[in-house]
Amino acid sequence: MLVDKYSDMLYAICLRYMRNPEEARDQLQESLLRILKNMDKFSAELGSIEAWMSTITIRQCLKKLDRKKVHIVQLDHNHDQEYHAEPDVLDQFNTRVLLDLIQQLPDGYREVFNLAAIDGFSHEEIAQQMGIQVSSSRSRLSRARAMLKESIHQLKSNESWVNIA
Amino acid sequence: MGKYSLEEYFKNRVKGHKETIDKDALWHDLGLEKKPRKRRLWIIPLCVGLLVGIFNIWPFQQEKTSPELSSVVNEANTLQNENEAQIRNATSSNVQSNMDIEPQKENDLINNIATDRKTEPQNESRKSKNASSSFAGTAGIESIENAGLNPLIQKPVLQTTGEAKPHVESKISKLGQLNTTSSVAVDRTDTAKDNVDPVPTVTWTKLLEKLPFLAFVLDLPKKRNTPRLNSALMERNLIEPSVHHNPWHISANNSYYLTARDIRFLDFEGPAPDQDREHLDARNRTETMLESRSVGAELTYTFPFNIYIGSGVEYLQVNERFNVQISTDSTFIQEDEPVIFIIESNGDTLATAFEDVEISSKKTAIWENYNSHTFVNIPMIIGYQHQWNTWSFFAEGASLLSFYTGAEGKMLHVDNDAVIDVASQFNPSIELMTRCRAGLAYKLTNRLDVAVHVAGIFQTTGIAQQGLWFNSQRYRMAGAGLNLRYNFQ
Repeated sequence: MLVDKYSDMLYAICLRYMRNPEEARDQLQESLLRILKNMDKFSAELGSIEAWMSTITIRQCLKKLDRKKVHIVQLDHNHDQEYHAEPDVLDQFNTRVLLDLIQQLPDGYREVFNLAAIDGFSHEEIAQQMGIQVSSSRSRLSRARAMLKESIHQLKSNESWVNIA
Repeated sequence: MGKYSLEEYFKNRVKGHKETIDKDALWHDLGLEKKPRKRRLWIIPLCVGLLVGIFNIWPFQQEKTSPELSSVVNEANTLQNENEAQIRNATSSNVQSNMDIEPQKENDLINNIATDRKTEPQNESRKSKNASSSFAGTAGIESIENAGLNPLIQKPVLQTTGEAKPHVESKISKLGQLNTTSSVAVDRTDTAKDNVDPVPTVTWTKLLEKLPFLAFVLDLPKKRNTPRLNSALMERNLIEPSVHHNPWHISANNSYYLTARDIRFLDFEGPAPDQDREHLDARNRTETMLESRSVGAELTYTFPFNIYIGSGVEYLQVNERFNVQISTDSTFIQEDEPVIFIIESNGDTLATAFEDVEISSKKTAIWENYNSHTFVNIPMIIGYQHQWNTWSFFAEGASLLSFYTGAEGKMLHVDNDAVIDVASQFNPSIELMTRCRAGLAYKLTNRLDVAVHVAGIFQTTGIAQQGLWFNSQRYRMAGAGLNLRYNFQ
């Protein structure tokens, strides 16, 4: 069945965009209902069914987040520096740990990082979808990147990722 | 690790990642929230049509097997079986079942009929077209038609009555000679009453014998005479013209229309003409496709003077596609808005923050819209048909009582065709439309016609203007389609 086959993948997308698993689960349900309702409208011209369902899920998450009041956190310039870790060190992280790191990003930054870095949207598209300026999208991505680097730095130093995993 | 290494690393690890979720619980939650599926309303008239068809067929089937006729048919069956055995003995293996009449033989046949006609007494009972008043004469005529020209009717009734006249039997033999080509060695005598013209059995008729209901409903075994031969036979009153004894027909039709581009679903319940209609005008400019499809079923009654009336139900869907470009200006005060300068040369960023920054933005979006407007029409039909041998022409007009149910729309992102939103609106109203239709029908079997038609639909007026989505007097379309008509013979 469609739900059985793709629900795990869509749930991972919801986890990336939402703040916690409960919200992710709620949005997964909403997305699946929307997918099932519109399944007869899907055609090969829209691309692969996987991409189509991913797009609906992402938009459902953004729609949900848009209803929430987004609070932009204050910048902390000290953390905005390059993280020079070896790739094999990063490979030690479990994927779930990486998802948790993304989840811990503040609202507004998390969506931009997901859209730009992982789902491959341009800053213009992100600005259009989120109703922000292109420059804001760039700055939020930059800040999100800095925050993630800081989180990885802390994880590595404390080796706390073992517990999280 | 370069500037983008972290993002690439996350993308490689996270993109496509699957996180296990409890499927049973998910299904349970989805089941609680699932909405009931829409019912397919067109199934109801289809079922009603089938039921009407079956209950109309049954009485006529019963009428065809009156006790008097049944006894004759039984005797004919007996003789037929004996005769078939005789034929099988006479022809070892070389019976041809090709029953097509060659042109030269057709000419011979017509000439023979004409010759016999000259010698016939004028008061022949076969001239009667009323089967009940002269059973023997009618049986003879039927036998000519069946035994000679119809390869699939295997019950020559005439020989069993003992009342047929010799000249009729003579024709049967001539027709039979035409049918049974060269290799059938059967002893024939023109005047022998017991001699039955052999009609070779075609394989697929045996199959239909095993499916009597299908054979009856479709009436497939009838292989018709050529039009020219039929005309000759009819002129000489040797066969009856084809008439339908039952005036009822049921038909299914399917049409595709190109809709006039001035059909504008512009009159939304929204801005008045003197208000902001920018988005409606944009819709007008960008409309690129308008087409309609319909499917329906109709029951018609044909009067003897070729006028028919009817009604039914029809599902009509009007599809439109257009783009809408929406620009929105917004100004807001953003507290502590960060301003970041990205230095491309080395990837460094320089950031600072201001307080209470007034931000103005203009957002432009282009959405591609697909809307489907659905109607359920009740046609009131009056028409005229003229029938030749196998072809008929029909022309009809109809008033359509049209129930507009609403619209269902899908909005797509122009760049990547991603579904933005799906919406539906139940917005009922009643319209009156006029439909003109004309076409050509071909008789596939005695009961089944197939037809092609051209049609035009014009909106006449709106009965319930309140809530209408489109302009009155501007709704028109032209198209073509197919009909499948069943005759209750």
